[in-house]
Amino acid sequence: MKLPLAGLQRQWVIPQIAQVRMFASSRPCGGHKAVKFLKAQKKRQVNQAKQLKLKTALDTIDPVFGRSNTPFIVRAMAEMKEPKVLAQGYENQEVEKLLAAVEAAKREQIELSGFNNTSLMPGTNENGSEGLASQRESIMRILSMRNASNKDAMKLVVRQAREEFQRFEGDTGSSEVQAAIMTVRIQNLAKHIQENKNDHKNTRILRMLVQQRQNILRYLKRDKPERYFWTIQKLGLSDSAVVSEFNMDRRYMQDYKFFGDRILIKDSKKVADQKRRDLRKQKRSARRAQL
Amino acid sequence: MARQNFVGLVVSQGKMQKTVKVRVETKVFNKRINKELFHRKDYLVHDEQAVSREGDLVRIEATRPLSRRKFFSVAEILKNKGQQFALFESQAKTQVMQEEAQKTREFLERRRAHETNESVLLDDVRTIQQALSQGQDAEELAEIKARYGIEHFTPDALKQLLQLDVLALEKSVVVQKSKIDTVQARVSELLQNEQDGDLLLRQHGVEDPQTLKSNIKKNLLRKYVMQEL
Repeated sequence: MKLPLAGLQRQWVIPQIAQVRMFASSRPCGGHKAVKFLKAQKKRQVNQAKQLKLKTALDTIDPVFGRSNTPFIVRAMAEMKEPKVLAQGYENQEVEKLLAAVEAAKREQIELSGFNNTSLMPGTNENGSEGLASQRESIMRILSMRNASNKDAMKLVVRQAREEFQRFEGDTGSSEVQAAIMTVRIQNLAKHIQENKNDHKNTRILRMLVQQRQNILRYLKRDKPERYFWTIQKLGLSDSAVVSEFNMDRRYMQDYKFFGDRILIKDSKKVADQKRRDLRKQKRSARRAQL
Repeated sequence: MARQNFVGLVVSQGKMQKTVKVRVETKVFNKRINKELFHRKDYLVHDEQAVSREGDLVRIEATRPLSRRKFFSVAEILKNKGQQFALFESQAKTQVMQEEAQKTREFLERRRAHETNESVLLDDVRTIQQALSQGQDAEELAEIKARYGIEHFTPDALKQLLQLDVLALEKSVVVQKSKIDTVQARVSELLQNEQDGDLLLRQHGVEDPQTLKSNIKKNLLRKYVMQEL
């Protein structure tokens, strides 16, 4: 049943093809050389896609902030706002001792003065001890790190950074220590600038600090390479972030989203067109590479 | 015929398989300015084992052409600086990870200690004073004694307990000041009495104390006086 039908169809189809006018009469390419060319073309397209991606991709590590979630920096920033730690170098025990000494002195004086009234004695009844507790609480709150000024907090964090990076006891000037202190300052200042984008004076200071840190780390790489790699790993930086040229300009701020999605540099029409074309090219070659 | 040889720096590695880029610097005499200038040329170089790293100083040797741009191969590594850097980097990663884990643990412990720290000192002092004034030994006192490592409570012991670190610091400052004063007095005495001063300097191996400048003499004297103290 089927065979004759197929034969019928063929009979019908052939005249239709004959009616279509062909523009090219040469054979479709299937020769050895053509296959080789196609293969080479595909390889080239893949490579072009890769190169374009490399060219447009940013270095993953921010040269100012470093890697996100670097343990050292997270710890330092937490240290600045510890509620139970006291500011200005006061120790918890010392303050408590002072409070106890004041109480003791009061009691002694009352005893010496000859009053034998127990109601005058501080802390004999429940009310008195509660008062003492609240007194202690309020003093601890006043001295708490949470209520300290930024200057005091920075002093504490800088001291801790120094102690963590020092080569020997009391080392304040080695390259690691300087870089660590600069990093703490950079983190603090950058956060301030993100909140106050018109603070141009401090922006300049931050820029200089970042450059100075790069310089000192470059010196360290020449001087003690082992220490250098330890330091940059600890500060969350990469070798390329230290060695390659960097300027904390608007281009950087826009690329790394320093002020969020704010557009700081408006591309000219020519540049924008070129970018669009590049992107399209990249997409196309990626699609072709998949096929 | 001897093969062509160059010494150069590896500037790019890991981008091509078994191939590195080596920068060779040669001096070329510029006739116009009558001066030798550095001329740089980058070669693609075959590296069969892929051992060289960026920053290595290598000697390269000509081979038969291996590809369109490749006709040299690495003969030896003269300075393995790049390999060392790569090693340091990998070592630093593990080392820092361990250190940071330790430091974070310490930080959390410190925080926990601060949070659990209740003020016991204030209550303790109160009970001690009560016991002292009433002349009786309370049951709690034994516990308190154990806590501070004191055997018998007297007003002096209490004072010792409440001694501030600040006071100790003040005392040390006073001691230091007195030390500085004695040194200065001794030095000025030696400077006025030249014979004694010269004798001291000679004892410490200075050959001609008279020829020394006054400031240097003073510094030396201070040094030796401080050593003696």
